[in-house]
Amino acid sequence: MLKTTKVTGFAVLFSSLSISQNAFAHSPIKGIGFLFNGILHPFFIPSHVLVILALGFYIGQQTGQQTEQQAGQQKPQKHIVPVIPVLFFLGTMIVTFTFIAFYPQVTQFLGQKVTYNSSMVLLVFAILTGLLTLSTLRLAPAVLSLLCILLAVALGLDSQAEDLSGSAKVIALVGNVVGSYLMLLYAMALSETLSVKKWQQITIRILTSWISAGAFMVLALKLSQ
Amino acid sequence: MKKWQAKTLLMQFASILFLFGIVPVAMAHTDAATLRGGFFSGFMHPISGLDHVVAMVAVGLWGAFLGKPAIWILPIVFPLVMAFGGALGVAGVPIPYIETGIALSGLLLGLAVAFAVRPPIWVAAVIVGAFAIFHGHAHGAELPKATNPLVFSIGFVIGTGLLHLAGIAIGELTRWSWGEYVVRAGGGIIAMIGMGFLVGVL
Repeated sequence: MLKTTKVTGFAVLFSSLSISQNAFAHSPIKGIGFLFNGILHPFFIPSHVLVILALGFYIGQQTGQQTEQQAGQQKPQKHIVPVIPVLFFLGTMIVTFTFIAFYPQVTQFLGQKVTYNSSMVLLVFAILTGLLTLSTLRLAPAVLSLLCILLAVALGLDSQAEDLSGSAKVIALVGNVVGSYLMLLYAMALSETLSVKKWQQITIRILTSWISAGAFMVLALKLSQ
Repeated sequence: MKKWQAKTLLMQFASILFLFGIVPVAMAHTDAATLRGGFFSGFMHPISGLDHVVAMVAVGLWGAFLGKPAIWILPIVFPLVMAFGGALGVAGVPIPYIETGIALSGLLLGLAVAFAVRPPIWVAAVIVGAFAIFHGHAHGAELPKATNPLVFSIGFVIGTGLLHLAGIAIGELTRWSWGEYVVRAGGGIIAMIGMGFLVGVL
């Protein structure tokens, strides 16, 4: 998983660098197509970056701890814990984007009739997930899966691509799923890799405390407005 | 192999953070459109004020001086409590003597380092946390004016954290016998700067 994630990490970095010289004056980014626009979308929305990084750090931390605990066993079950929650994350994003693309009235209903502020929900998730990582609290796989599902729905509802339609919208949303998923895998790989030494574990905990602190202040700002 | 992987991934992560700063983004999303200005404004906020700088460095120095686990607990406590202070600031909850509290933080934390005060970890955390509220309130008051509050707040939390890290790096000199004198002298300088702000000389 790590090798693949590193390759995709380089690919995303290269894409970001290569497009940085292109025209950014219009939306979406011209010349790179809807798929790459979709892939880059979560990387350029700060609230998405924070919440996905926080979740990835948390899952990676838990995997690293479990791997460490199982190191002495005869048959260590590496990567058992994150597979199901991560698949739930991916599956829920696909389902949410399917509704957005083909049944927009459902997600519009959620956005208009139900009191729902997507950016505030994402900030709450960023705070909670950051604090989970900071505390190294272990969640039951079912609870972690539920967290992944809720987070994927919140991310999906905050990425409705209203200004696109037809196949362009579908392609952009597919790209969005890919981008979000790659970022999650990358954060997981980073966090798991940095779970060997004490200072590495502390680094991840400090990073997530920064995520929680930043998100908390902005949530307070939004609530006060 | 594992060490190499960790370094590579950390470098990639740092590259991504760097990209956030340099890529001239102007996409449809309002968050993204102001990514650059908001982040650097926030990042420079704690760094550009000497009163903030000395207090943050003092937290790192004191943490390094106290050793484990204070070396990492204090720099975690500070931004979290600072966020609470920032929330009070954006909510408009008045806290009296903000500037005095910030100046006092430099003075007292500097003195703690200079005199090698070694209280229990929870006492140190409470002291640092109390001062963090003043610093957070000052930053929080700027938040509504930011072009993008989220990246602004992330910027100044990272800026604050790096100042702690600078303090910890200097504090690591205590590994050598002569280093303790250097660190304590640094605490004395910080205390003097704090005093300067307190009496209005700086």
